[in-house]
Amino acid sequence: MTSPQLVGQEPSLSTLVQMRLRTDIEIPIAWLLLPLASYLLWAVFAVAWWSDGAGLGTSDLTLVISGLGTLGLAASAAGSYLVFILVNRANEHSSRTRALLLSALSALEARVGISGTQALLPLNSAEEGFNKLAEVERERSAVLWALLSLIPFVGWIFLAVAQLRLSRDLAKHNRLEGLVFEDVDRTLRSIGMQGIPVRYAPVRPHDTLGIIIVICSVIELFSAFVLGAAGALILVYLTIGAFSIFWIDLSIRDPTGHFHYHSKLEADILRALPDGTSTSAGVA
Amino acid sequence: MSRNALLGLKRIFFDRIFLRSYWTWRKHPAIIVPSMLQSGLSLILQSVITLAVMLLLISEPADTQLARLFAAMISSRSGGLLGVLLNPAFWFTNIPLSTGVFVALILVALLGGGWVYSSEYGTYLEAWNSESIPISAVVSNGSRRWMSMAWTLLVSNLVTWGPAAIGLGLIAASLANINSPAGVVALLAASYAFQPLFFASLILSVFTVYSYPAVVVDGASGMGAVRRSFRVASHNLGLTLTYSIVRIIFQGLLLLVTYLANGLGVAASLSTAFIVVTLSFILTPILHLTKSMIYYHAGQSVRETPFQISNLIWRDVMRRLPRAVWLKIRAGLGEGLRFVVGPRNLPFHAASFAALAIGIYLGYNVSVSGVGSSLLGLGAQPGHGNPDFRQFTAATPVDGVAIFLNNWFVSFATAFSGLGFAAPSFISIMFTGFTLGVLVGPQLSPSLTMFSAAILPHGIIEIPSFLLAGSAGMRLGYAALKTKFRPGPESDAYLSKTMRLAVYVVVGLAPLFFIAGLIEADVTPFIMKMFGWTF
Repeated sequence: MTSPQLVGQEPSLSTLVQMRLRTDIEIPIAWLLLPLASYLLWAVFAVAWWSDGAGLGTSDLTLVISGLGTLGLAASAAGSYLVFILVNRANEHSSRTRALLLSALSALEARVGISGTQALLPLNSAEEGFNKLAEVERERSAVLWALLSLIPFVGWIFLAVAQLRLSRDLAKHNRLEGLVFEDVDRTLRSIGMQGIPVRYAPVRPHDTLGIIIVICSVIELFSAFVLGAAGALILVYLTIGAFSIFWIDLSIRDPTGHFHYHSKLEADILRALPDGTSTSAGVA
Repeated sequence: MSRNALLGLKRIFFDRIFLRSYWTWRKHPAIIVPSMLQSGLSLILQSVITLAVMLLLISEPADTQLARLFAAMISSRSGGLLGVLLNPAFWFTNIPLSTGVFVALILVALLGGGWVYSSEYGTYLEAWNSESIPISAVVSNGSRRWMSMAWTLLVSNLVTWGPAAIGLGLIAASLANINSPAGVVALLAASYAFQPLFFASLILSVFTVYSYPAVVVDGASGMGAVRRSFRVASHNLGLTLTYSIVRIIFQGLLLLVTYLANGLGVAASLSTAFIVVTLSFILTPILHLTKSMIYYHAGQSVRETPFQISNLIWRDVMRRLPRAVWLKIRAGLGEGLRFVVGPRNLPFHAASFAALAIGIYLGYNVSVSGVGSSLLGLGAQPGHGNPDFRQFTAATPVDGVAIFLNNWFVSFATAFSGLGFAAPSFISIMFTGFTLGVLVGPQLSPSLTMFSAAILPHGIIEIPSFLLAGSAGMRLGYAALKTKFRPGPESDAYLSKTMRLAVYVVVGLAPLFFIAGLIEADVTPFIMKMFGWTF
């Protein structure tokens, strides 16, 4: 059995950099088939239920519809696993980044103590930036969001909300960690060391997509006058589901550039601050 | 320099605690023993009812209402307790007896619940911080704080469900005058009042969620534990809500699975067995452990959960868990075999067999004295099988799995209820015999051959397995009595050893119940038809 180490140990800078291979994972795009299968099965289920004349609120399921529901639930479970992976990846990346920055700041503090006081200003700024990062960044519960997106039909709304939060969190994380990295770079240069190549490449949140989903859904709700309540709800489900799948695709791809940037940057940080100089760090 | 001291931040991460709870559950299988004890407690409560019903039937075998009550009990294999409690036949047949039963139920629920919860949450706390957990920890934790826990159990439930109970009380009071216009108005008013009161109870349940962990973590008791729970829940509201939502979704998904399974033809009473087993052995320990550790980590002296990369649970569930379960079952088979042939266990086997024999004898007598006629009057048709069995075909082995889960769970309950000084195990086995005795009566069974055709194909495996579980329960009861009347390290060691043995015996019974379940679902109906049964 491989369980995590129950006794937590403060990981060193090099350990944290090595962890990148396990936290900053690239998710194969083929995994998109999981929510797609769930979307299609529940769509067929909804249409079959509706056309069967059962309508909403009827519990008299036929064998075929129950079979479709069971398959849909299995596919939803697989789809929610993808949501878990996406949210967990974001959590682990931001946690590792915080731990890495903490370790780097501790190492820098030791260096600045030796080199003089001219580096204190950027170092203080870096610490302030880090404080803000640690204060502002919140871990979303991957377990909660995966379970919420597992709920048939309604789960797609939660899935869309999860994607919105993921994209916003990534944008915020990118902006705030960029500020800390800039200060780390300035501190390194001020103590006569080679800096780290910081580039500012903003990651944009996909709020517009969220707004489009809401507008389309509201408009479709008016189709209840033509299609009836059940028909309108199915239409809303089809729309939210289609947009959510597109959004999952974006969520899978979005962090790739950010992760590549980290791989380069972290190697440079490690080169500038090898483990021997780092002091004990707290926990991020 | 510690950066966290610099930041003054301490965060509690739900996922880190939840995932570590899973791994703790995997590392220390002993933490599911309190869940088994919980099922034993349910059986103790049921045995109070079954004993009362058996006594009533023995004294008034010709009473049709009692026969109806008995029929309701044996048709519902696991959830008959509430039905019996709500049945007026039970209330009015013998008022002193039914009052005694209610008092006994409340006392057993409180005191037994206190012991079981104390054991459960104490074991979680120990498992979280230890490398290994012996079974003796379950016993020692149960004995350590059971009074505080029982008091907290009462206070916490009064605080949480008091408003809903008041609402229900108002409705019940207004129902007394329902025939008058004023009574109708009162009922409407009470119904409107009930909704906010029930909602208030639901809100309160979120805030009292940490009451039991507070007893074991902080040594609090009663209102003190409830107050601490309120404080931690309000300071960590997001986290507490996350826990509550995760719990609700897990339970909702299990219900959805049952609903869809029913649509696919799996009998409702059987698919609930799946829910009960999943909840008892997997979800409840992990979720309760998570809850306890949220409370534990909210403490001032406990540091933030460190960052660590989570190992994927899914891979473990798919690859390693089945093998780990199989290894435990194999070990259980070995222990079970040694338990059967061990000469020192002979008295317990004899007691278990005696319970069955006495039950059959009493049941048969009651059947010929009037219960058989009453059941015929209620629509029982000799030679006509349970309509549920109509759905059983060779194409639905899933029903066999559900029967297996149900029977296995009952065997856990039978064994662990023995901790109540052996009596509940004895009564449980006796009630099984009593039911068989009633059904074998000449009015209900056309012939002994037909009866045997319905019972023996699966019963030849199932009944000895139940007897074995009962026998383990008797030994557990003997160990509990020994600890009570001859306290000392030797008795404590014997109790721990017997509890470990009981765990292994019932785990080892799994393959037997599995085979019996498949036979009962897929083979017995065919054999019954061959011997003249109709469905």
